[in-house]
Amino acid sequence: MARFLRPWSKKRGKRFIGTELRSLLWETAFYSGVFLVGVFVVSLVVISQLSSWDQLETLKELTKIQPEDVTPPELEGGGLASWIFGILGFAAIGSGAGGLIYRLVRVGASNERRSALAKRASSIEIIVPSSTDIEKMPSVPRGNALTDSPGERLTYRLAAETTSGNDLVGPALLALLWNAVWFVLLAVVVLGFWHSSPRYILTGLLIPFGGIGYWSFRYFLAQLRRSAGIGPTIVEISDHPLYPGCKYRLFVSQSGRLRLRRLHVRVACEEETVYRQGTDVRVERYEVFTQELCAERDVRVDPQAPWEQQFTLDLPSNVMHSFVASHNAVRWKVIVSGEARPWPSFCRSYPVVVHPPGLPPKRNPR
Amino acid sequence: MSVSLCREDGIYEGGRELTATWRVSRVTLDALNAIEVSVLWYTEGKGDTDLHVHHFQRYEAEQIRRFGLADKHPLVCLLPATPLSYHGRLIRLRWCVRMRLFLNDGREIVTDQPFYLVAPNSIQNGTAIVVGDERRSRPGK
Repeated sequence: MARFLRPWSKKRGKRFIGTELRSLLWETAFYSGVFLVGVFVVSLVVISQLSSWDQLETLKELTKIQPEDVTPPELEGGGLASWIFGILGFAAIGSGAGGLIYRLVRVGASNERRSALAKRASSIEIIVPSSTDIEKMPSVPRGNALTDSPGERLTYRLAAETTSGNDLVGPALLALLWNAVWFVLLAVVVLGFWHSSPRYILTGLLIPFGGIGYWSFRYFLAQLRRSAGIGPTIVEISDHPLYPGCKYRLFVSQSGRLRLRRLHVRVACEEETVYRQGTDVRVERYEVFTQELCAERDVRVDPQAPWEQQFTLDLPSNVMHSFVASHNAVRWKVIVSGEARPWPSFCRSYPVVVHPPGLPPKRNPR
Repeated sequence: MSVSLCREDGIYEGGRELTATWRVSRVTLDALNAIEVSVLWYTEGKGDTDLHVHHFQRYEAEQIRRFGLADKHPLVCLLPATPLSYHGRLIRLRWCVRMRLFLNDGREIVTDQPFYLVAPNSIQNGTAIVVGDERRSRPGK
């Protein structure tokens, strides 16, 4: 069967059906087109603006434009359309030129050369001198933020990966905005009836809208109850960063008013990869190492008597250090999870950084 | 085209020097446009590939003509302390010396010489391992 030249190529992950040359040509043509359209629009705006100036007679003669003929009376003086078209034109010029430069820079350069150029660019000191720590251990997260807060029992208090406040932002916004709109609509309907011009369709719509508002508010309350009921979890550690083959003390405290069926505390090392499947970006995680520190059943927590335990973490010598790249990572964390009653189960993780062995330990004033 | 490492077992400690030699044979000077030699790490596995070049040298056609292709050429670089070689379930992290030849007809020829980067001071202590790949920590075995 004869194959026809197609102007498009279906994308499958990083692979293309079609030649790289063809995609390069089409992308170049597209960005050039965007750039030229931008230039054209900006030129139109500039010429139409300048030609309205009385002192620019030469430009008027050159372009043969009569401003009163070109500009509709309703737009004259306001200039709103000119602003909009001007901004759109500049945006098109910027995105066209940027896309074109980005695409053309990639032509004829190997992956290694591009990576070397990027490395050289990132090492240029602009304002702040580059930190030597980054160069000492590239691709290892610095974890400075993890040692910001001092602990009460041990040296450092670890920060949770996601705070409970973040879980509430989405439901709270949805509930408040949706219900605010519903009340505005309700006011419109009431006023309609008041002034003897009822809006029956809007009145009918208020019922399903009210149902959604009720559901969103209930969901927000459930999340709030969940966050407030379980209470904060405090994790403290004797030293940070961690080194394979060393021992550390770990303190865990769980507050709130809870009856837990099970409570687990463990340290885990997780591989995380990001990959593209079709047009989707997927993340996969796998726990390559886990050390259970505590597995208790039927734990009772009162506001006056939080559950508190201290453990010894013995990190084996044959484990991978923390590693972060653009698409792959090895992350270490302390995980506290519980099956609560009557609240739903919870799982809170506290990232830690593991350095490779054999390096002089990083000393902290604390 | 070949790359030879200074250590037979191909195991290097982080923060130490890597010495290697490279050579191009059976290619005429006229056919060469450029040569790139780089020391880099890259990831393999389920995720998209990450690649980071630690050391990079590019020789243009004029330079190549000046030093010729008859002899072996040295490559010396100080390795970083991390990331160490790793053989995990989803991620494999590999180090290599990569040579890329650009020919005048537009073709590219690439060769990799892999090596292992292990923890600093671990070879002296006899604890050098590639995490996740302990059984194959020595490339020769």
